[in-house]
Amino acid sequence: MVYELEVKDLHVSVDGKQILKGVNFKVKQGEIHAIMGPNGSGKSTLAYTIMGHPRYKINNGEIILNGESIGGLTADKRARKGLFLAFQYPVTVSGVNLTSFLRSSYDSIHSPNGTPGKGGVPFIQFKRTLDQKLNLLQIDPSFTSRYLNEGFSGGEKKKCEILQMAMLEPRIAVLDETDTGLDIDALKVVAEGVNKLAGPDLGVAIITHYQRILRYISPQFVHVMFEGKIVHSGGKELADQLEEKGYGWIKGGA
Amino acid sequence: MAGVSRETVKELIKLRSEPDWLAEIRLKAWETFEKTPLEQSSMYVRHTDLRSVDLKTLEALPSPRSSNLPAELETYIKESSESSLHLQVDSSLAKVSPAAELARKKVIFTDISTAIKQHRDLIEPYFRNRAIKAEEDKLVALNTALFANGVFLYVPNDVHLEAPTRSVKVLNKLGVGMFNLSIIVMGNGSKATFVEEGYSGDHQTNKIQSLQSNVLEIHLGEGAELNTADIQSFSNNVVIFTNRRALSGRDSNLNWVACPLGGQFTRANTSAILDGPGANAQQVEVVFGSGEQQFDLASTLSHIGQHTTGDIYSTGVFKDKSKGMFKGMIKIGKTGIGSNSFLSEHSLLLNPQARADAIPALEIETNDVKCSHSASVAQIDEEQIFYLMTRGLDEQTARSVIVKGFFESALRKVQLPDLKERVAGFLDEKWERGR
Repeated sequence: MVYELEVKDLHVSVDGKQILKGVNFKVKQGEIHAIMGPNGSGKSTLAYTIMGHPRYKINNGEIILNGESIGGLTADKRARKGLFLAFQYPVTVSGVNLTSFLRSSYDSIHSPNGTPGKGGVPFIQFKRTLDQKLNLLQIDPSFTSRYLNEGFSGGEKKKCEILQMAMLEPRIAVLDETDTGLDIDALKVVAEGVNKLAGPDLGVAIITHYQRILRYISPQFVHVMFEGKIVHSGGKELADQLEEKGYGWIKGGA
Repeated sequence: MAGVSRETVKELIKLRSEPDWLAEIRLKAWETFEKTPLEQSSMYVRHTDLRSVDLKTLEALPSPRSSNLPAELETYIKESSESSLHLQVDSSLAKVSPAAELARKKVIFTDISTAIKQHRDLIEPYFRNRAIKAEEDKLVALNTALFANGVFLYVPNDVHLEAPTRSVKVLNKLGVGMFNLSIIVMGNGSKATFVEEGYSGDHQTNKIQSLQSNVLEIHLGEGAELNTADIQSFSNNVVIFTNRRALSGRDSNLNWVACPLGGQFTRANTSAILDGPGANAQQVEVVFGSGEQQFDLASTLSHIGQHTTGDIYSTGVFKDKSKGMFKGMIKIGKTGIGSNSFLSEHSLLLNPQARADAIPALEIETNDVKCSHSASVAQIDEEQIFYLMTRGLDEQTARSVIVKGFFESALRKVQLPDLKERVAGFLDEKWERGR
């Protein structure tokens, strides 16, 4: 079965302010989508809402994963159904060892009964997967003995997000402004990571303000968001057009 | 006889057939207790009120050994042949078992009464010139008048103790007043570990109050090193007053850890007087409050000697309606040139009704020092919870991960791995119990 995430006529408000005004959007396993748009167009709101942040209220519309409406589920349940969100600003959780955090996270996603922390997956199996993913992403194993995002540089934080994504093996991943605050080298590392993880089992929606990350990751579909709606959808050429003309160009096009 | 009075003090002196010099000290301390006003400042009264302790009903005199060790506590107290144990149940001494290496190394590890009888020459000077004076604090005066138990640890010059020495206090009866005075003397170049532990028998729900009064005095010779910890999980009908002070000699090193978890109300006053040049002290405090527990914790680093260094790390997690107060103080005197000091006080609140205050204070009288502090009190961060939930952890687990990480931030400062593990275990247990 091919997983599909569908966002249908989504209207969302944050603290009483209407941000999304009817977003329609679909991503399937195996596809790479880019969602672009100027600041304030609602891109991050879309990402948070898909993942179930409690501050984002759905006023109308639906989020559907494989025919099931998931708009009422808490974030952990969505994660266990195969959704992943890579944060624009990954949160630091002091004193939490990355390996043991990955373990409980891995457990809660992959253990058959889905009870977190009850040790569904044997440690040896977890460790083997972790080593494999570290190797794949070319991350030094000592990285995982650090505390979760504590004292990480911008690049390390994003690398940590990609590592988590690799471990949790989601079916659909939303990457929120993954390129923000990265120098070009860090950007390449992150983009390579995404490319290594992309494949028939993973659907990706990359949310970005700049198109520079699209030099390293090739989306089949590009969408442009403006004032809470997707106003253009197309192929990769749409990104090139945006590069050339800037966001000023779409303002008339809605 | 219940209650405390001058008569109680006299009776204790008679009971122990104590020498005149000590009797005099006790009776003078009782006078000091009686004439010292209850509280000094309004900041102090906010959380502490001695009036909440009913001294009239307390059983303060050591009874002939009547109570046995509660079975449920045996696992905690299980003896290892290497470590030295001082065990008291209620206000009676149950056992002192020094490890084999102690006799060989001429280390004294005994209860305070025996020490007064058998090692008068060694111990009397520390009574004549106390590290904490009875006049400083009404509760220290009361402790001096009534102390009936405690440890005397004397480590000669250049002696290193491998295994820890432990002092375990168990409250089994109700309405007991336990008054403990411990004195640790570390010779030049010596090294040891001293761990205090406190437990209650299974009477969590009983309302009859007990009192724990603890005074710990530490004398560190040149280059001496002491690791010391105080972990207690008394039941919630116990009021705990603790005063600890270290007098640190040249180039000495002190690491202490306090982990108060139990009790209805805990007031602890900890201070290190860094007298000798190059002395170092680190205080790690980890508190976890629940229910209606209250904690009033004061920590002081006093830099007298040149190039002395010190850190205070106070960390608290408060849930339900518990309350905590951290009063950290760094004093650098005129002579403390080149000192380096750091004070940190951070609290995490898990419920809107929980409360914490951090009151850092710096008093610096000389230039050319490094001194800084950081303090915070915050509700648990919803963004952290969401972040962890997006990784598949349910809300309960996410909170648990955050809290344990918060503790870990403090525990990583604990130098001895065994001790760190032990404290972490206690925190875990309390957390799991409350879930």
